[in-house]
Amino acid sequence: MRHAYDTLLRLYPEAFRRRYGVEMSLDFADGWNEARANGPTAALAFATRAAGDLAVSLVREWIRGSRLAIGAAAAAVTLLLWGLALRPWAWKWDIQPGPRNPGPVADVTAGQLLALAAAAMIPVILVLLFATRMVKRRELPRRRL
Amino acid sequence: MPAYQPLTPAVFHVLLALADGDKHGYAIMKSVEEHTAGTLKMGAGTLYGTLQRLTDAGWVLEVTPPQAVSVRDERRRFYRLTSDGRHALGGEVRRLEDLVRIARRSRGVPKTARH
Repeated sequence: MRHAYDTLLRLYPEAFRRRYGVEMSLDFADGWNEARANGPTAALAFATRAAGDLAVSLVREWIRGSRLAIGAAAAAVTLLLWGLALRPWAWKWDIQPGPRNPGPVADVTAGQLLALAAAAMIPVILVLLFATRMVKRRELPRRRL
Repeated sequence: MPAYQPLTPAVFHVLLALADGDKHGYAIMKSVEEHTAGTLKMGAGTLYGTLQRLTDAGWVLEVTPPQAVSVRDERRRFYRLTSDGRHALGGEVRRLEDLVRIARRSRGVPKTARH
């Protein structure tokens, strides 16, 4: 069981694993031995709890270490969605008021589309940055005595 | 307004466990379990994630193990509450006391919960 746990510890970000991996392994071994001494039910409860903790803390540590990458990925996906929503053929046919009229409509260049989508991203980026700050504040108070 | 924003339960319990004296990770986990009468059992991932943040914030310090430790515990790091951490813990306790005082004055709170 400890070998399995040690293997799963490799999934943590490297810096975290180097700093706390040995201690986590020792703690797991002590907890597992103690739980096994209390019977199979306690051992099962311990293993379930350890698996849940591992899953949650893995995600948390990766998010904490990769906030910038996650923000960039979210921005890229949003940009792609905006790009699809504002595609020129949609402008030509869908945004025209009244009945569909395939008359002369100014063509939208790819550059204009990209500029518009980028501008639409600004509030999204601001919300992402603000949300990150809020999470950080909740974890630790910003003011120290 | 309190000087500190609310602490998460994990941060609060780790600080509380270290208020008694220097401890290694496993001892902190056992102390949290004891303080909460077994209702909160902190996992290693949660504990060391919390310790990392507290250490980075300067509220907890890694210290050399005391001389009288077992061979097994020599491989563990010991953690100590700094004065900043102690002030933060005190601030949180005062904040919680204020909340409880307000709640006890409220008529909407059941009488059984006011004592």
